[in-house]
Amino acid sequence: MAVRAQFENSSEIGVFSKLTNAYCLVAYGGSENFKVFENELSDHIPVVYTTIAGCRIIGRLTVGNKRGLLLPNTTTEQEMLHIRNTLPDSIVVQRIEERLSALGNVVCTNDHVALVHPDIDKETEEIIADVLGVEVFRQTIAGNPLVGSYAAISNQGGLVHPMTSLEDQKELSSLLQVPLVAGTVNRGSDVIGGGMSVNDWSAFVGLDTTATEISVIESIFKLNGAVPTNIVNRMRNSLIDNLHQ
Amino acid sequence: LKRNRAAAKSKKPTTTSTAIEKPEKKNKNKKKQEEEEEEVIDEVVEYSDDMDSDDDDDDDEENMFDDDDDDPDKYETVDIEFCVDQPAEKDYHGVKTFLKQLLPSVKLFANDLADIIIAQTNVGNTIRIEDNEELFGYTTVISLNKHKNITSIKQLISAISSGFGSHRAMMKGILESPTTGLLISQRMVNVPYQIIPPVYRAVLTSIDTLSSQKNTDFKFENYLVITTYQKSVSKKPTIPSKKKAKTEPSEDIIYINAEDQFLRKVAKLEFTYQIQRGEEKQRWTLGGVMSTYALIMVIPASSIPS
Repeated sequence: MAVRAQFENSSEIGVFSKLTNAYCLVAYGGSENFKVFENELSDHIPVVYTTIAGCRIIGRLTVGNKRGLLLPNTTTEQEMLHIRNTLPDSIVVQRIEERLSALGNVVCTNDHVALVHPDIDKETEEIIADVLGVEVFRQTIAGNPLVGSYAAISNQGGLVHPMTSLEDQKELSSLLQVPLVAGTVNRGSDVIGGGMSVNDWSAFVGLDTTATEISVIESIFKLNGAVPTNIVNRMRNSLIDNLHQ
Repeated sequence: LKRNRAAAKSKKPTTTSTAIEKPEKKNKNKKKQEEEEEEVIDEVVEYSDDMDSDDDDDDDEENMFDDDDDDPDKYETVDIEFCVDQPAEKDYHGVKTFLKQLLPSVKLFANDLADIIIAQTNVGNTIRIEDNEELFGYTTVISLNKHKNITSIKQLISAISSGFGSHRAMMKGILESPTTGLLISQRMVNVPYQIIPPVYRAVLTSIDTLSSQKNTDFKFENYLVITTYQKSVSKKPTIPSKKKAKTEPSEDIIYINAEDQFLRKVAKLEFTYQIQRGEEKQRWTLGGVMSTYALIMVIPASSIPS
């Protein structure tokens, strides 16, 4: 389900958090309203409070999926150690040297495909493909190269900038192999990536988000009455036992 | 502070109107201040007072002309036409951003108040520029009694109540009265002061129309104004400078809203207290150290038109 939240009076959830299927990074100092991340997620995935380069805009500086996490070259040793220690060992944490260091703005990824800024380095593209285990495509969204800012995708679907043309949507949808819809978040904001955080079974949007926007998000990311798969699996075992009895 | 700004902004307009200027220079049209200004200005500049010629309820035109004697590379002149308009749904984010700065010491949950302001199209006006998405300012009046239960109003009232002191009883009466309106007026820095009279006139006219139609929501006897101003902190806190501050109070104070200095004169009740914007008690600016004060005024409705 989609949950409304606020970070210190700001509706830009995607700026202060990074949500994937395997973990969630959250910035410090969000007060009561941001505990919603912990409340919703901590039963299923580790929730890590951190800064990156002393900044709280961690959602825009990092990129990751269930296999790995990429950090900008400005990340301090301490922060990196903290993240490495708190995340499960299966997740590869790597710092990359890239001129376009706001990785969250230049890369948009799910567990299978990544869209990247047309100008990133070849080595960065290779590292992304390697660490995150995804196929990488250089793309723009509505003519804008900051794909991480103007789109949010999960393994089920994606939301892109409202001005994305239908042909672009079709093209991106065929690359990403998921359905896409063009829309807004936070009451008309077109910066989708900064305004929301999403994974396969939950989404967090700003407090300003209208009911219409939430229904679009819940439908495209297939969040209606969704439960995390591990819970479903646990339930399935007991359900099937009952059947056999 | 004044000398730097005067030298930077001195121009010789050839025909109408005045140049866009920083807040304290808005006093320049008042005779009292003129002498002080001219002592400070390095170049003597003749301004034509043309406040009324372009005044219209619907738009206000500002023209600035190039001055050949000044360094032409330093400043661009911009022709801007401001429009006074009604609030609309698209102003939500603009109003919300402004509201968050209303009282910097409070982390205002502005969503609900912003909703009310933009929905209230019968009272309230916005300052816009044609073809420009941004909101440059707005003025509106909210019935305190009608909306007393919303989060932002509660937050504001509890924030200002810390400064009530001896006026507690009177303020309590005013806050609970159904005839008190919260007058909110905010503009971007450097929006020219000439826009203020038309906007205020528009708002007050709408209120008059509505109250004469026996709409009890808008029958206001008193307006509550919550605003801020900045005061420069004297660098040597010795007795001589304190005396100086007493005799020329307006020199030290920079009003965020220029109209506040005039509203103060007709206020029935006013109190101020120092506020902190986050961690910093004082802010360093080019001219000196500034500290911010909240200014709360109660103004009888009859005094505003004058």
